[in-house]
Amino acid sequence: MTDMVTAALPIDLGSGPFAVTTQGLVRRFGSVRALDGLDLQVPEGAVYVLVGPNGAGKSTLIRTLMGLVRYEAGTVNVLGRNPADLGAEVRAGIGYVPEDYRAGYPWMTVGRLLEHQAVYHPSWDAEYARRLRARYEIDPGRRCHTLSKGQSRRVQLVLALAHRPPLLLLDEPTDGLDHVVRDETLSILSEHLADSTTTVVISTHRVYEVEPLVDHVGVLAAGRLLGQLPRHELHGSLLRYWADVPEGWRGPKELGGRVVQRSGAARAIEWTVWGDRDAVTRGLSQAGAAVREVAPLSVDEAAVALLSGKEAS
Amino acid sequence: MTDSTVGRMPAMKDVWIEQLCVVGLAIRREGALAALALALGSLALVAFARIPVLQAIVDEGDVGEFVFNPGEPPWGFFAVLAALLLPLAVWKGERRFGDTPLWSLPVDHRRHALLKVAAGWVWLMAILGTALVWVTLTVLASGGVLGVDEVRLLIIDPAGAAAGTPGATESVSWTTPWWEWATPFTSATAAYLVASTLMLATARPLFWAAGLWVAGAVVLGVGEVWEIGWIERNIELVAWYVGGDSFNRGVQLPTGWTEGWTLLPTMKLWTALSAIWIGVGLVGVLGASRRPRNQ
Amino acid sequence: MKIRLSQADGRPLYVQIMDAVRSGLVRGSLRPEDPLPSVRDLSSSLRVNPRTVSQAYAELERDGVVQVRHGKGTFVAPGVRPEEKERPRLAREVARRALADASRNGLALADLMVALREVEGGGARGDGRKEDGR
Repeated sequence: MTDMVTAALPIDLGSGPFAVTTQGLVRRFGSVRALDGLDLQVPEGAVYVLVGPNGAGKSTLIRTLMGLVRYEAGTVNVLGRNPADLGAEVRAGIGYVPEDYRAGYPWMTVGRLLEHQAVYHPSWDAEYARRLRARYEIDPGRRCHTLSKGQSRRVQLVLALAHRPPLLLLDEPTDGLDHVVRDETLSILSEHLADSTTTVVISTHRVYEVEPLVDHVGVLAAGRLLGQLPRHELHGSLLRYWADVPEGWRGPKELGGRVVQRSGAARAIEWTVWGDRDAVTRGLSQAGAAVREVAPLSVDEAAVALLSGKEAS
Repeated sequence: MTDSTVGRMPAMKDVWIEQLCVVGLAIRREGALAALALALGSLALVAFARIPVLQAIVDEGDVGEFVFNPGEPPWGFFAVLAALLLPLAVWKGERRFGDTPLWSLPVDHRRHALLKVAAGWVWLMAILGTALVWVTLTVLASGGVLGVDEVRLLIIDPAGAAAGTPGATESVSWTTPWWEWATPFTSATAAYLVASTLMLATARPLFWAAGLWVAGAVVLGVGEVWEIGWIERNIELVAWYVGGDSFNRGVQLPTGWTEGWTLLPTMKLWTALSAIWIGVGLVGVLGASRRPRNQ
Repeated sequence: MKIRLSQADGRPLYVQIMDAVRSGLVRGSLRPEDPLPSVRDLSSSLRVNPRTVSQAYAELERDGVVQVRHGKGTFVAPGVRPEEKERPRLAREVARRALADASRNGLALADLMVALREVEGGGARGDGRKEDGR
């Protein structure tokens, strides 16, 4: 038995303070709604991961926050400003790793590109940039067009981090990085978070790669948030229940929680439920199920559960 | 949110200097090629003018003077050609309708685009100035003359001139005026601005340039076939402005063919054409810079 | 101090860090007055958010296991008695996980107790060999 269940987790993170908010953000491309009334809330100092499949609107959202694309309806506030009006001021406070991995100008050397970025960001920390360059083994003499995808990504990360911006917008930052460099990048980001006061928004469809850094999660699908909440809430309230049940068991009407996903064989079920652990366990037990195990989901598993709403049994 | 949480903005002066540097780097290769061509050309010029063996090949003993007239081709024409091609080098590697590199920097998109165009223009003027000085020195080194001092035959009435009617032609003494030295700079400025407009406004500037070229040729053809006077006249003016010698042509006189002038350019004409074309270019660039850099 | 974190482990990362410190105390690899790695170094080597490490240290401080000395770093508290407090606490945590594992496999506490004694007494060695295919 495999059911498709639509679900929505909370998306209200309270009163802030927020580094980034959008309200009812709408952006269409032709008849396609890339952003469909999006209410984003990124608390100050959070490491917020934006999870979603390709085409969910992640890049469009991040480019909107950068003031790079227009939007049709709603409001956007980034670092206290609307990027549509004050794009330059907003961009001054952002370290941006774009989806497009081509760094700088093809004809420019990497060293010159770093100098170029330093001119535009007066808070550039040249010593930090030098250390990052060394850790990433970036050759400043190389021309940008000779860089591989992974090398280019590393250059982009240095460009984004070295001016210690109050906001980092990282669009698929680990895309193209091999295992060792990805691991190094996580270490670099950990230290960056320890050394600098910054809010981070990471967009990715491979959340397991950055999961240990993350403290807030937004799940995006078809231009809408399916959920937006602190990671510890996700961890505490979105749980997977394994239970043994009598043959032909249908499940209770009222469970005290919202079923996100369910699957199972004839006498065993696996339900993913958003709700209070004790209440759900009680609900299942009273309906005749013997709950064997209750376990939290990783952010990755939670995203998969929310996005697919079903699972092979 | 307090202001301290927002990153610091770059000073516009620093951005301007950086754009001058970056544009200089971007056009470095093209500039080096042009300099090489200029150097080889002038070397040849001096050699043919100064070395007797080579003189003999060109003049067969008749050593003429080399006259450098800034108001005649090919000087103005080369300046305009360079100005039309320069934006391709200035915007090299720039995703003009993308996210990066220019547009994700903390400068207003429109202002940034205009700064880059202006930086390219500064380089254009520097290149033309250097080229002019270089050519001037070459001409002097080869024993040539700067500017012309001659009598020109002004054709007032072409039909009357062929019939030998008195007053149909007029002999005018002509000395290169000072402003003719400036014409390559103004016409190149206008051409650069028009080409920059195409770069900023269109994703495929070469396609649009070709389209404009075809449209111009059609208008020219229509003007010639139906002998529409004002079209012919205006084409002549444009051709002169971009460095052509469109006022200068062969005329039939009772005594035979000779070189005559339909119009002797004046400073007023130059100023008016510059105002029109640079104005068109400026309006174009200012308008095109408003175009959103992303969809 | 060696810490290994696991995403598969259902417990939050900060709890895993706390347990790693406790187990270091029980094993004796950490002793009173020993310095703990800085938040920056530990988060960097574990590739976790520094706040996670801060949270673990703050909870450990509340439990009296560590002391934060301003400007110097975090140290194991001088008065910590691993045998009295940390050992039983860690044992309870391990027992809780073992029970959960048993329950998942449909085993009762009694089954687990029997098996534990057998394994401890060497009774399961034969089974182990069979499983190894020797």
